[in-house]
Amino acid sequence: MNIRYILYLCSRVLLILALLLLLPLAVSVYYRDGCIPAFLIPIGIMMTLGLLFGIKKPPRGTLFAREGFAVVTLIWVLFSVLGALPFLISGAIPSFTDAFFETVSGFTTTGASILPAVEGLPKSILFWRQFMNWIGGMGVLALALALAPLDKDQHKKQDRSVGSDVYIIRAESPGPMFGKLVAKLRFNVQILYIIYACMTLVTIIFLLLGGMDLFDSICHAFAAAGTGGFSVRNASIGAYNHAYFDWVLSIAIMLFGINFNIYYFLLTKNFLNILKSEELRWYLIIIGASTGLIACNIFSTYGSVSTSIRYAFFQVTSIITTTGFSTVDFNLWPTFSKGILLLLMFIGACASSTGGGLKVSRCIILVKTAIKEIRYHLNPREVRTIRCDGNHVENAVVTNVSSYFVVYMLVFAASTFLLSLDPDHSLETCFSAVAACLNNIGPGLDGVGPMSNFSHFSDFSKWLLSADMLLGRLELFPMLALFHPAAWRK
Amino acid sequence: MNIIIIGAGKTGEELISSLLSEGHDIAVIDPLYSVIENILETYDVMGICGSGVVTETLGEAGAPDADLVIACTPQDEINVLSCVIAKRLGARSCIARVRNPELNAQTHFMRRELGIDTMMNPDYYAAHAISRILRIPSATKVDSFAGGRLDMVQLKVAADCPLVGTALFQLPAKCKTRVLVCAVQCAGVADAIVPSAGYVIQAGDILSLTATHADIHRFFREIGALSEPIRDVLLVGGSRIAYYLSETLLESGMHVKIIEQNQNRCVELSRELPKARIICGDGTDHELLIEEGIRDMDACIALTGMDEGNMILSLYAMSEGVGKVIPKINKTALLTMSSHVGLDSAISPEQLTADMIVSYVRAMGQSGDSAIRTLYKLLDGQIEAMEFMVQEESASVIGIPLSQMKLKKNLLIAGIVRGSRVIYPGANDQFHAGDIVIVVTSALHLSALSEILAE
Repeated sequence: MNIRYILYLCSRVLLILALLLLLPLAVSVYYRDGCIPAFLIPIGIMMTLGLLFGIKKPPRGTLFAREGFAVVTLIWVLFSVLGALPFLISGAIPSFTDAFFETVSGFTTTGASILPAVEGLPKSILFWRQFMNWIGGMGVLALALALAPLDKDQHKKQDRSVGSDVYIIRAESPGPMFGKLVAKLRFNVQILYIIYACMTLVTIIFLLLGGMDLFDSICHAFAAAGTGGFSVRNASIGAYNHAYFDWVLSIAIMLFGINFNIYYFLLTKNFLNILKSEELRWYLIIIGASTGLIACNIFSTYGSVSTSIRYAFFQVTSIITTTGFSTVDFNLWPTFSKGILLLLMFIGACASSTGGGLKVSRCIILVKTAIKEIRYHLNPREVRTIRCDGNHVENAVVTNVSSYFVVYMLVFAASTFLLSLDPDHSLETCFSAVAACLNNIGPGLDGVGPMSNFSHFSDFSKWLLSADMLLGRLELFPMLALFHPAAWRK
Repeated sequence: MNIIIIGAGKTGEELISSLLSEGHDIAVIDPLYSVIENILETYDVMGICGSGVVTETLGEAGAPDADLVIACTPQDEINVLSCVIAKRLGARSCIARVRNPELNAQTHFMRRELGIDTMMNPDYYAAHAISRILRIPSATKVDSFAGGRLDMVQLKVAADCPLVGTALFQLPAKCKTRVLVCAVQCAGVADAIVPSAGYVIQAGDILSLTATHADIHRFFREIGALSEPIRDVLLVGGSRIAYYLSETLLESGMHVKIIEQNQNRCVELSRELPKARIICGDGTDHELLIEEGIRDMDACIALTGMDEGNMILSLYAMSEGVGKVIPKINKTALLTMSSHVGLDSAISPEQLTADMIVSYVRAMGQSGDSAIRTLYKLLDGQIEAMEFMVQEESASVIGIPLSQMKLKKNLLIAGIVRGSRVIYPGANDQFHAGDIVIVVTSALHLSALSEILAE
C-alpha cells in the first residue's frame, strides 16, 4: 500500500472540497445567518491539510487497484467527517454521530435524516445539505477529475504506469460495467458533468416557472439531480401540495435515474444505441407498471384517478431512483403498494446514473442468469449465452454481477441482524431502514417512514447505517476490499 | 490525433503506451474480452471488444473520423483487410503489420491499389538492428542515422576502462577521434541525462555516442575495447528474423549456422538460404550446442519464440565464452530484467516497431515544417534521438549560428549531415536547407525541428 501517495491524492481532492464549501459560505454571507465561521473553519482545515500534503509529490507515483480503492474510500470518509463540521460548529446538529450520519446521508445521496424539523435551520446550513446531494450524485472524485487530473504524470514515462484514475472512477461510478464514451477518461467525466449541470439548471427553471422561490428551487433541484432526497421543508415536497411541482420533480428524478450515456447518445444523434438499451426499456416498463398497480390500489383512498396516478407516479419514481422525496405518507398505503415500493427499493435506478440500489442492468442479468440456470436443469446439454442490448454478455460480467448480489445480500442480512439489537424497533422498521440506507433511498417503512426520521436510533445503529450508506454508494467491493488483510500486506 | 489500434497483443500494447504518452486519443479493438478489460484497467483509452474487419466495430471505434488506423493482429491478412475497410470508412491513414515476406515484397501494389499507406515488418527491423550491432560488436546497441552515414552506439564503461575519470571535453584529445557523447545513464542513478561538457565519466556509466562508422572503430581501438570482427554467427531458432538476418549477414561475408527444431522449416530455410548451414535439432540441448561448436562462435543470437528460453540460452552462451550474445525478447518487463543480468544487447521487435510508428505519427502531425524522419528511444525511453531533414520553410532555424540559437534545456545537436559530409556541430555551424540534423534530448515528444528552440 502506497500510503504517502494516497495521502497526496486525498489532499489534492480536499482542496477541491474547500472550493466547494465557498458556495454555502457565499449563501451565508448573503443571508447573514451567522454561520460564516461554520464554513470558514472547515475551509481552513482543508486548506491546511491540502497544502501540507498535496504540494510536494511523493516519488513513486504508481497506483494499483488497492490504492485506488483506498483513495476512494478514504476520500468519502474524510469528506463525510469534514463535511459534518458546519453542522457541528453552527450548532444545527450538536452531536458528532448525528452530524456524521447526516453528512454521509447527504454525500451518498441517501436523504435519510436525523433532523425532526429543518425549517428553522440557517439557510446556509440547509443549502449545504442540499449541495452535498448534488456533489455526491455524480461523485466527488469524478468532479475532482473533471476539474483537474488527479494523477498528472500517470502516462509520462514508459514504465507502464497504471492509470490510477481509471480505478478511482470505476470504484465510484455505479453499475456492473463502466463504459467509456470517448477515449480520454477526463473528457468522459467532463461530458457527464456538463450534462448533469445542464439538466439541473433546467429543473431549477421549471420549478421557478411554477412559482417556487429561488432558494427552494435550487435546493430541491440539487436534491433531485443527485437523487438524494433532502428537502428544505419538514414535509418534503408534500409541503407544497401542488400537482405541478409533483410532476416536474417526479419527471426530473426519473430522468436523473437514467443511464447518463443515453443522453450522450441523444446529443450525438446515436438513436440506434438508445433503442437497443434493454436497461432503459425495462426501467420505463417497471415505472409504468408499478405506477399503474399502485394507482389502482390506492384509488379507494384518494377517490380521484388523477390524484392517485400523481401520488403513485411520484412515489414510484422517488423510490426506484432512490431519491426518497415524499408527497404523502405512503406508510398508510395498503400492504400491496408498500410491497411494490419495497421491491423497487432493491431494483434501484439505471447503471451510470445518479441513483443507487442494485441497478436495473444488474437485475436484468440476474433474472436472465436465473432463467438460464432453470433451462440448464431441463436441458443439461444445451449451450446458451446471456445476451443484453443485443450483445453477448461476457462470463466475467455475469460472475461479477452474481457475486455482487451475494455480497449485497450478506451485508444486508448482517446489517439487519445488527440493527435488530437496537431495542423498541419493529422488524419492518429495521428491515426497511437497512434497505433504505444500503440502497441510498432515505425513507423506509413504519418507524422510518416518510413522515418519521432516524433520530430515534442508538449511536451504534447510526454508525452502522452510515457504513451501510457508504457501502451502498461505493458498491460494496472498494470498501470491503480494504477490510481484507491482503490489501495491507506487502 | 484519433488513433485506432486493432489487436492489443505485445506490439499493440507497446504502441498504446507510447502513443498515449504523446497525448493522442486512442481506441483499441480486440476480440478477447479479458484483453480489453486488462487494457482498460491499465491505460486511459477506449476499448471495444470485437473484430477489426467488422464495419460496425470499426464505426464504433470512430473509424470515419480517425486520423490513423494501426492493425497489428497476429494475422497479416486480417491486418490488411482491416486497413482497407477502415480506409473506405474514411480513416485518413493506416499502417498494417505484415510479416509475410511475400506480402511485404509487394509494398507498392498494396499502397497504390489497396490504399495501405505503410506496412510495418517487425522481423525485418529486428534483423537489421541485430546486423548493425554485429558490425560494431564492441557496442551494446547501434542505431544509424542519415542512411548509415552517422552511427549512434551505446557502451557500458567497465571499471578498467581508460575513459574513467575523463571529462567529456577532454575526450577528443584522449582518444584522438571526434566522438560526441550525447546521453549518459549514470551508474546507480535512475534518470538518464544529456551531459554537459564538464561531465566526468565514471565506471558503470552507460554512454551513447555519435560518430561516423570509421571514427567509432578508431574510438574503440583507442580505448582498447575493439573486439575482433565477427566471422561466425550461430542463430538458434529459424524464425523470420533468422531468415532476414541470415540474408544480410551472408551478404557481408559472415558464416551463418542456424539451429531449428522443425524439419520442414529447415528444408524451407535451406532452400531460401543456400549459403547458410542449417542444423535440425533442439537449440536448448547443450550437447548439441557444443557439438555444433558454440565455443568457437563469435556471436550467438537467440531467436526462438520463447523469451525466457532466449535469455537462458544467451546466458549459457556467455558462460561458454561467446563474445557477443543477442537474445530476442518481446515482453517489455523481461527486457528491463535482461539488462540487469548482463544481456545488454537484447532486441525487441515490438519496441522497434513501436518507435517507428511513433515517429511516423509525430511526422503526420506536421506539415511544411521540418518533420521528424527517424526516432530512436535510448536508455529505457528516457532519451530520444531524432533525425530531421531541414526544409526551406523552417526559417526560424536556418542560417543562424548554433551559438546564437536559444535551444531547449537538456538538448544536444548531435550531428549535421550535409551531402556525404558529417559535421560535428560547433558554435559557428549553421543549418542549411537539405541538411539532416540529429537531435538528442530528454525533452520528449519533439515532432518538428523548430521545436528545439526554447520558448
